[in-house]
Amino acid sequence: MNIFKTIFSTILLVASFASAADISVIVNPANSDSFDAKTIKRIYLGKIKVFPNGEKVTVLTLEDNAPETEMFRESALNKSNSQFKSYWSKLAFTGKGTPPTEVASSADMINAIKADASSIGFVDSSAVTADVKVIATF
Amino acid sequence: MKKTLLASSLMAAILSSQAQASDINFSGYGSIRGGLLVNDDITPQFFGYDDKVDFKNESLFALQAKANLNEKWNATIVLQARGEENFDLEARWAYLNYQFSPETTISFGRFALPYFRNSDTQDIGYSHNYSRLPTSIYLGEEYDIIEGIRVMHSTFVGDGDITFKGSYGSFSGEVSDVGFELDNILQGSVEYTYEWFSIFAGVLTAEASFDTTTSLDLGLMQALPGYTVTNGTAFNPNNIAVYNMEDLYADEDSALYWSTGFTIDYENWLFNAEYAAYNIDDSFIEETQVMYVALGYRFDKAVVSFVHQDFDFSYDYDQANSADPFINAFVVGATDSFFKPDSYDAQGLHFRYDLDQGVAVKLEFSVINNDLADESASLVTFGVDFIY
Repeated sequence: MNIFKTIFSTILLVASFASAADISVIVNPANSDSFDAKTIKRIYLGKIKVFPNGEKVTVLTLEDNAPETEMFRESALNKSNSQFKSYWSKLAFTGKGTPPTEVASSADMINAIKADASSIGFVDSSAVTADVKVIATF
Repeated sequence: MKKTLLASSLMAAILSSQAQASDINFSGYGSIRGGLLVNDDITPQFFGYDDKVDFKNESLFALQAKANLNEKWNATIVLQARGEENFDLEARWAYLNYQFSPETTISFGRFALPYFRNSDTQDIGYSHNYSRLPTSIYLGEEYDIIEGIRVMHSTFVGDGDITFKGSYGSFSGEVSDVGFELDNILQGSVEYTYEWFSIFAGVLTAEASFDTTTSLDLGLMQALPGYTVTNGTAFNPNNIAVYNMEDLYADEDSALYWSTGFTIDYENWLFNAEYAAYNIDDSFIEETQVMYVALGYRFDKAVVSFVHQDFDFSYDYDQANSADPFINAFVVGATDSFFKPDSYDAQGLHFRYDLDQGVAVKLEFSVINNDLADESASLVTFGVDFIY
């Protein structure tokens, strides 16, 4: 009986480790606003353009083909890459908004967030450093 | 001339703005599409294909340059080259945007006129799952530009959001090589979006004028020897006034468009429907009614859609009101040749496959039925839509 228990909890442990490889949404540590999942989604879909403190949001993303990007869009926005790009093409070419700005790597993302108090971005949770503040994980 | 001036001054504004080259953002979209009729008892209007493969009709390239002048203002120009127009470069959009508040944007300049829900994105093939937006509603773009002002306001309502759009301005150009003007265009629309559905309603009014006065006068005098037209009145050979030509002219006739639609995107099922009705007062066509419904399913990287569309108009010859039968025959003939479209319905299967980032391959098979002739044509198209 005990051995089953051990195997079972080991499986659970492994499973939870696997899902711990997740995405962290990050902002500058100076940003004291609180965010729910809906707000993050609205920011990435161009529906919210300013933080509650009135600062214009600089929205950052990793490159389209980065695995983090795909994971973030699927879990936080419920959109595949092509759905996300189709959605933004309707806004970007009709004067309704500017799509998130691409940065090349997680390190660049951290640096950009660190340098800009009104920015928001995401990285793999393992890449998070003390320079940024995690506001949500997916 | 007007549009060239506006576009070039805006281009100059973009390039001479204090923005460095790096602050000018370039992006774009395009389509390369080929197609042909594989069974062509008729050659349907509005689709632009015949029984020979054609790669030109629906292909287009567009480049957008956008410069942020400061926090509140940006200038944008979209240069577009359409195969249908021999890839002549046209400033499709050229406008200044003013961010009045986070929710409200005011645009000044030249932009696509949103007669219908997707009019402003109809050229961006990548933005939808069909090979083209249904032609019953999205006829093409001969007169869907407005020069004027547009206001957009979005706000959250509960878990959803609502967007109001209003435009005011005018258009002048050519439709089927006939001078055409729309003045006092007034447009308003509202769209509510919730997680998985959205609903839209819009209305547009304008004064429409076709530059057909001279050709109708000359046409009548040619068709009916001995008849004359002076100051909008037709006289028979005995010099008796028999017809008021104003009944036939389209001069500042009021036009009214209204449309509605809704979209569902739920658990990979996609449903999309639009309906629109429009008329130009005193014109030959009483009312045009158009609609489509589309049902689709999204697989991993592919979307399959079935589209049914219908184009219908009610029609009268009220303008043929003369006591002179020859005049009436002319009016009927002019009506038929100038403005009478073919009613049709069509059913199509559309396939989209997202091949790579920003690249979608499209295939289509449609059957188009001409209601009057009771004959049909089958259309096959294949192409690539992209954004960059």
